[in-house]
Amino acid sequence: MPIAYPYKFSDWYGYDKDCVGKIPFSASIDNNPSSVCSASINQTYYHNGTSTPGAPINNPVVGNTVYSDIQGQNKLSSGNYGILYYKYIVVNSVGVVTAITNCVTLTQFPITATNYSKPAFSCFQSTSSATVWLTDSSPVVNSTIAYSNSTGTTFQGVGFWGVNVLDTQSNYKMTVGSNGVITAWSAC
Amino acid sequence: MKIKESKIKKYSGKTFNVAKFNGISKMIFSNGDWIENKEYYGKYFFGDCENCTKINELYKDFTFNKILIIGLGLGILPNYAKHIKNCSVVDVVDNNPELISYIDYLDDSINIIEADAYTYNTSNKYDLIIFDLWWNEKDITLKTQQNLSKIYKNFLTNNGKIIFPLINKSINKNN
Repeated sequence: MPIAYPYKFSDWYGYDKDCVGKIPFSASIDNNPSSVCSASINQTYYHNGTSTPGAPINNPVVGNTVYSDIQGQNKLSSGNYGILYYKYIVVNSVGVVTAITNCVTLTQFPITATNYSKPAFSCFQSTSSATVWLTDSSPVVNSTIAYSNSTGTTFQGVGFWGVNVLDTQSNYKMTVGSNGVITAWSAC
Repeated sequence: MKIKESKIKKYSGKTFNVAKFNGISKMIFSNGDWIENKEYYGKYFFGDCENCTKINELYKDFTFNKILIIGLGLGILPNYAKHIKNCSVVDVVDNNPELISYIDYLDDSINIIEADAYTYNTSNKYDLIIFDLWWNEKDITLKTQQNLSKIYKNFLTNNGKIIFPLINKSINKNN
């Protein structure tokens, strides 16, 4: 209903100045553990955690409460919900995320300790001190996600990296974009 | 061979900045592209790196004395050409006057020319022309290669060649 000037006290009924907006994220509907990883991620739910500035995707973390509405009035029922980046969340009876589980087994590869200014420079470099974890053993461009930790909670940094695939030094060039997405992958 | 670190000044400018990270100079352009003063840069571009067979192959049985480098950056390539490859002529083309003004530490015999790589013209002839204009391989399209080769073949000596190191490709004067 349009509010006319001068304002009336009744115009402010229901207004909550302390209300904090919830963070949207994409997920599947509730599924049992055997099917949650193949479920379509076609719902928008909300959580009470923080968002990452500039990040297009804001998955919840363990401890967040999740809701079906942006106002945060309806908590999700307990169960398993697929979320982006090949993971699913486990929600308890009070709408709190109690676990985030990877749907895929991450594959680890030795990687160069630093990124390089141009892809070609990342080839034939030492890979003795760092590791990357990928969501595919044979990476697929614009699909595979690269993580810098084995639990898949920290994305690999943006840039050009050399990866050692069954060699003694980097023999593949990998370009990582935002959110850990591999945007280029080729043999040296 | 890299540039002696003491020669490279910190700088904050309109088109690029230069900062030191752990004692190593890093030139960061306004679009985020960057170059660091490290050994591998010259070694890779001139095929002196170990195990990098594709770029090694481009330089196999090829000798050069007069070189034109397209793209200045930190000056690592012209410095390498002069002091490691012992080239008698080292010319560099770059279109960034701010960058040309900043790079004041190279050997006086290295000739830096302010010009656009896509329209540059010269009567000089070179044994080797190296392109160092891009950061990402996908930016070096076939059309770009063809356009540049058409121009720069005219600047080659009879046995000279053009090299696009990022994509491990060379073009001879007569092909």
